[in-house]
Amino acid sequence: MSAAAEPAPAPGDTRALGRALHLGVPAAISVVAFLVIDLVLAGLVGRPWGPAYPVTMDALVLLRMGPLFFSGLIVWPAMRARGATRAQATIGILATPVAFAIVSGWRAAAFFPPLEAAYYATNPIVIGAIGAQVASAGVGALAYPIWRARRTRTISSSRWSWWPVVAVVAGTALTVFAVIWDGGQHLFYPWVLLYGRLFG
Amino acid sequence: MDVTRRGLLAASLGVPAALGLAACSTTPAAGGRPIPVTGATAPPGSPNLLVIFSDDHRADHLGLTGEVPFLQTPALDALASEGVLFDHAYVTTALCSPSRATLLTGQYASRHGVRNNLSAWIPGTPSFFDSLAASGYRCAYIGKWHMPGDLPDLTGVERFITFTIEEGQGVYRDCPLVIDGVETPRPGTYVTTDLTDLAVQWLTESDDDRPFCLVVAHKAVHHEFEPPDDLLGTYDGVEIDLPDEAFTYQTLLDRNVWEGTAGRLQTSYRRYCETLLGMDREIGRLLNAVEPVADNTVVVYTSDNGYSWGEHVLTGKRWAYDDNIKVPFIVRWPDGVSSPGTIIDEPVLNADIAPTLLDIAGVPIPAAMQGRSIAPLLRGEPVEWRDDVFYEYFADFPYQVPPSQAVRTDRWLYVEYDRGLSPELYDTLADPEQRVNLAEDPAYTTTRQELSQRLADLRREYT
Repeated sequence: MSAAAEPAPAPGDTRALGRALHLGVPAAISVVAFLVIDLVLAGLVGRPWGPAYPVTMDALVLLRMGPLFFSGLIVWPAMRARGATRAQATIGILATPVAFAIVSGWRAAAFFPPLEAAYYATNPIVIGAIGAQVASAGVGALAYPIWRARRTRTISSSRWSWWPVVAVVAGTALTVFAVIWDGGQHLFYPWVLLYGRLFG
Repeated sequence: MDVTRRGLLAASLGVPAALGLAACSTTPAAGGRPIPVTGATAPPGSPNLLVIFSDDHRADHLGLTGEVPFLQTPALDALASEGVLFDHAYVTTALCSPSRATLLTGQYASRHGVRNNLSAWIPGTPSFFDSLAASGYRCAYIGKWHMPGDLPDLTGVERFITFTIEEGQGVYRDCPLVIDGVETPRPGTYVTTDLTDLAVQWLTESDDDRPFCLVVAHKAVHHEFEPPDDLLGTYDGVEIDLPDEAFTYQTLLDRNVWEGTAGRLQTSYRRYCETLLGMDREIGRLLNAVEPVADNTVVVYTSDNGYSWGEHVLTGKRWAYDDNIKVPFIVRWPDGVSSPGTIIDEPVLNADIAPTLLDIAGVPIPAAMQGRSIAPLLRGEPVEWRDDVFYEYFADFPYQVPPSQAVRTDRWLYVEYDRGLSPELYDTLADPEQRVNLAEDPAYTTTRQELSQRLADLRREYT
């Protein structure tokens, strides 16, 4: 899979905005999906209405992890298929973790002063989400040509690249370190200690 | 106010044979501290003092309460049947480090300075150990210290065993210890058992005639909720009654995600109860070790704070709800308790422990201590007692809990937050789970105003 070679749009060219929107649709869908689930979750939590309450809440919590951690699986190949460069697609897969970071910092501002809330937005979950998105994008980049070839009954013409493999390994390692290995303590404590040095 | 008592604890409780003393399996560390020369000698017959301090053990999780039908705590139940249980025992701050400092100093966090888990113990802060050692006691602190910064040189303490791994939280297995300042690997150990072994060893290795004061501070039952191998899965089949508002993966909500319980709430809760069962077994073993001197030994059992298991969709502590601020509080004092096997209703604090130990030992209580001796309550003496308790909480990054102060009476819980949230008012008699906030209900305007004023008075008094 490779980006379509098109001339760069001239400044002020309204087609540039349209093209950016076109390229960004997959990432925007991921961000909007995350925000909608997050808002619904926040609106319903703590208000049990019956037997469906715990099931619904669990579904929402788990569903929220989809766009936050794994949407790169689709966003990366979808953006690349739409002609996005690697840099643009990278921004696309990071959009949802960044949205989560902003939401986290915003909520933390209710409890901590603004600068500390901004620091909160760098929390290990955000780091873990970035790693998971990079790994997902790598899986997506590896799987998409195969899926497309099967769907169209053609032979994939994509050139093999090690970069998706590197992305899978590096992204997984980052996520494991940030949130999985010993429950994420190896990043959590340094992050909290740095907070203490910065704001203590 | 006269002491009121209600209900006899089950008198037939006993410590099972399985709790018998096991052989010590540890090797004494080389290079213990020299015994400080105090020049003082405790009066003959001075009682020994044993404080057993757990972590995150909520008040209603004792077998004798019947609140959790499947839960067994035979050693603690037996201890209560031979002593008294305070069923309105509160902490001044429901957080590890401040609560530990309060236990040692008898002061609120505002006074001793350990305001959260990021603030260090101030070197030279006086603790009850200073007074006891100066009065001829031999003292030891064995277990979780968990206050930031370098380990202090605890004056008056002749044996100081703790751990610093994971920022002082420790780990359940192979937890390296710092024994009198010496880093000591402990491969193959389970920390609750290891600390008990070391405590038993310290109690039995010396033929010192002085009375002792020993604090055993467990990591249990803090997360990662790891029970001993033989108890893992004990409660796998039991039915768990979670609060209506709780759900399995609430552990992944932003408000709970830093509590270290990510995953199924029910699984974590089962492991918590199994870890508690394991700690109870070790407490039984420790109590067996002091049995030869039990008649002259005061035993206090309590915890640093409670724990929410789904109440208010919370997993953790810090918030000023009963699940977090109430703790189990048992005192066995053969020569002092007038009615063993009873429950005492008067509100007591973790800050009361330090002055109580000194009072029982016949040692003057420093004026700086803000708690009160509960010895008169134990003796059943008529005494003017407090009607309410003051609670304070300081911000503890990254936990999303605003700084707060609260007043808890026998009926009301009133909370004010420094930022982010409006006041909360609960009628704990009509609403023991504190779900219906009455603060904005016009019918309770007067109550709220009175409690707000009372809270302001308490704030002035204690901070």
